[in-house]
Amino acid sequence: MFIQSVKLPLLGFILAMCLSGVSTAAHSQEAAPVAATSPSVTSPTTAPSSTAPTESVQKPAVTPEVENLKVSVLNLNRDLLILEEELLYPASNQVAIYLSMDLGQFFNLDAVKLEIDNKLVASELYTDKQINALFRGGVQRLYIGNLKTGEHEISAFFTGRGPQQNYKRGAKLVVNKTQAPLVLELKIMDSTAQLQPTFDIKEWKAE
Amino acid sequence: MMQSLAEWFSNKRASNSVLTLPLVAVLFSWFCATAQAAEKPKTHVADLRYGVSLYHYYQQDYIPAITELMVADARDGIKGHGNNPELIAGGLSLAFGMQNHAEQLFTQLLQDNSRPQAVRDAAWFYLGKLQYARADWAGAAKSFSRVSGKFNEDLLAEMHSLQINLQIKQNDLTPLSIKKIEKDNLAQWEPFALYNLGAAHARNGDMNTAKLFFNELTELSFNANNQSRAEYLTLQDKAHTATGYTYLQEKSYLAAIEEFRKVRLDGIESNQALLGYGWAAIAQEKYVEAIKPWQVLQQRSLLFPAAQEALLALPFAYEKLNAPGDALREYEAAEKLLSQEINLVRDMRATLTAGELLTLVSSNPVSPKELQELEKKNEPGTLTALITDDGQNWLKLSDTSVIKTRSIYLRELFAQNNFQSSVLDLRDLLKLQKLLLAWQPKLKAYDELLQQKQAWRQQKEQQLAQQSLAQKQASMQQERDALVTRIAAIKTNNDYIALADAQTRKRFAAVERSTNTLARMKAEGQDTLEYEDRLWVTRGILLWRAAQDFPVALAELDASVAAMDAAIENIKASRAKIESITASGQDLQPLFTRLEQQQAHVDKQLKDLNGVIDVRAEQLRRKVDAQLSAHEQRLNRYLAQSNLAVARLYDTALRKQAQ
Repeated sequence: MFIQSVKLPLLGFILAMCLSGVSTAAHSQEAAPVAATSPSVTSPTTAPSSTAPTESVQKPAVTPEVENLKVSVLNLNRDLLILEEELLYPASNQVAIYLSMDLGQFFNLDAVKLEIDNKLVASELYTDKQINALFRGGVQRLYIGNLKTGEHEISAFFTGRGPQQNYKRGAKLVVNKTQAPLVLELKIMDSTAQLQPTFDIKEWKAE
Repeated sequence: MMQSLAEWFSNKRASNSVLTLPLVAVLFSWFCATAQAAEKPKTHVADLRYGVSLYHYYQQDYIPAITELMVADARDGIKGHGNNPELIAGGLSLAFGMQNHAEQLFTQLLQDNSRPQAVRDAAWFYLGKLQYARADWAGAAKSFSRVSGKFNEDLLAEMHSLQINLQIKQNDLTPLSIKKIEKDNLAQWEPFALYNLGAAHARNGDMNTAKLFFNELTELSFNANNQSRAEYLTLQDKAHTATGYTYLQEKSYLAAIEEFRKVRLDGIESNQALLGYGWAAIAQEKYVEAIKPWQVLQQRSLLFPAAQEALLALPFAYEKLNAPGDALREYEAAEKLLSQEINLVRDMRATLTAGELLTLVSSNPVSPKELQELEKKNEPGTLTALITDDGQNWLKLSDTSVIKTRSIYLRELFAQNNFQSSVLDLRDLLKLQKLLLAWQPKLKAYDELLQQKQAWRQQKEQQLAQQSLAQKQASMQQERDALVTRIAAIKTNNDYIALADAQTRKRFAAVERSTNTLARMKAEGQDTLEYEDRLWVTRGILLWRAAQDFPVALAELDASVAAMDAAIENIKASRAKIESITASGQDLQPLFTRLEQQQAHVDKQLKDLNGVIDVRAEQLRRKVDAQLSAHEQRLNRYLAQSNLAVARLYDTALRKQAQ
């Protein structure tokens, strides 16, 4: 009697668990990725009472309501950013300074300090994630601010480690700020000829 | 670089996200298609905004990454990067759970036949994956069929694996032989395909074919990294367990035990295997042999259903061994443990709130290093689910979490795609809520800033403009007043000569001088009569001429005064206008209006977001509660069976006593 009342349903449950496809693996840390990337043949077992195959019908992961909400908030965020820029950094005064890294085999960036006319305007200590993002082609917007028209001196100081030695280097550029926005790129590059990093400031001219 | 991306891709694949993998792969394929030349400077971006978007993307900051592209798009778009921004935008939309938007982007991209084949392949592939995720099997199959054979090798393997799943879904298993699987070169997807096919045949009742696939899986060798190795071992354990249970159903008990023995004791599948082992032994009436695995199982956490079943299975074996005393002791122990467990689950259900789930969802992700440590420990309740959207993981239950101690119960639920999608949605919404909440004080500050700016400008402009115009007005007024005085004097004296032409005035002055001379001569006694007469006639002629022109000249002067009056009025009007402009700050007014509008939008969107978040959190709580309820019901069934067994044993004992 006991066998009939207990064993068979449980056996069925376990069999269902075992055959329900990789997404139902009890060890979610390992098997669930399979569910995500290689969707299994059945839905996750939630009814442990039958061995009958259960075909999964995956519902859309995102409902239109949520997606529409996301889109409208992102649009609003875009408009707010544009408004903020117009308000705080009008084009006639705007200066934007970016940082990029080219290859970076000879230099592992730790920190950057940015000065305009000998005044510190930005500094950054870099995390591994940031370095990785720069290394893979990302460009950091290091500073955005306002600058009066006329001549200005831009200085950047880079601290980091190379294969052989630590580096503390600087780059300087005198720029003439006009009514157009000033866009500069701090570039960390590998000089394969010198087998060491080079640091440069490039001015981007409007087309 | 290619290698690191491939590794990253591999890690992502091993992770748990439905939503992010496509993005990673989009980028992966993009790099494959466009960045073959590793020597090419990586940061040689043609448009810095594109680089900034990538910078955020690589740090998994999807909102700023998307926003950067959106802002660029609202201006003049990203230039110099060909199709990449569109692919990235599609990928980012996917990563941020905007599948419809992503689909639109990919579809748009595909409508242009001039796109390079690599880009079209990537777009068809991800479009197919999107359709697959939406259970649009026909659409997915069609999209996959458009991908060319030149597509990225790794992604082709993944696509073939998905195509196999599509056939499984249509129960079209015949063409899917082991040979075909080998031929498809599924690489890392092969074990999953073998397992899914084995499970599909087993569900169809074709145990022999199922075993073929499971056996093929268990014989696979692998030399992948540790993460993949752990996955494969788990899959092999699952295959052994599933094969064992198929043997059990076929009453091939020895073969079943042989399969159960192959399952690793420290793996997550070992509970089911131990349980099956015991039942296979019981079926052969080898009760002592059954007790061993069940005793092992009984020592394990009661959170595992197999361990719960072992609570009842062990005394059942004792009964079979004719040891009712031991059986009764074990049943009573089971009653106690099950009652405690039921109370714990009830407490958990009673105290679990939507708010707590929200806190969990919005908590900081687990770092990859921390994750490794936690996985090593593999303690029940430490980590209940890993939903990865970025190489990082979430849902490490805090010590104070209500569901921490019984989180194993939620494993199945947490592993479900729908549940994970709901959680990711909720987390995205919470991020957006945070974003809008941050805008509120900023907008207020900008409003104050504008007001200050307006006041300052007002003051300055008023000072400057009023000063200049006031001077001009005063000077003109002075000039006008002088002219009016002069006209009045001319009129009073009928001074025709004052308004005469220059020649007449010059002659009249000469006549005046001559008159004076004649007066002096007359005083000296000289005869001046003749001269006086001639002079008088000349004077009369001159006055007559001047009188002729006098009315016209006077009218001209009056007209000048009128013109000056008009000019003065104009200056007055200008001053009034400037005062009005500076008072109202007309040039800042559009900014004020926009700020006001955006503040209203932010408030409205926040209200909408809060509403959806509340609903979603409650839905999530209900799902969790339903899962716990199912466990509670099962525990109750076990408890009822224990109660019955205890009563039955006491009854038997009493009857024996009575006899």
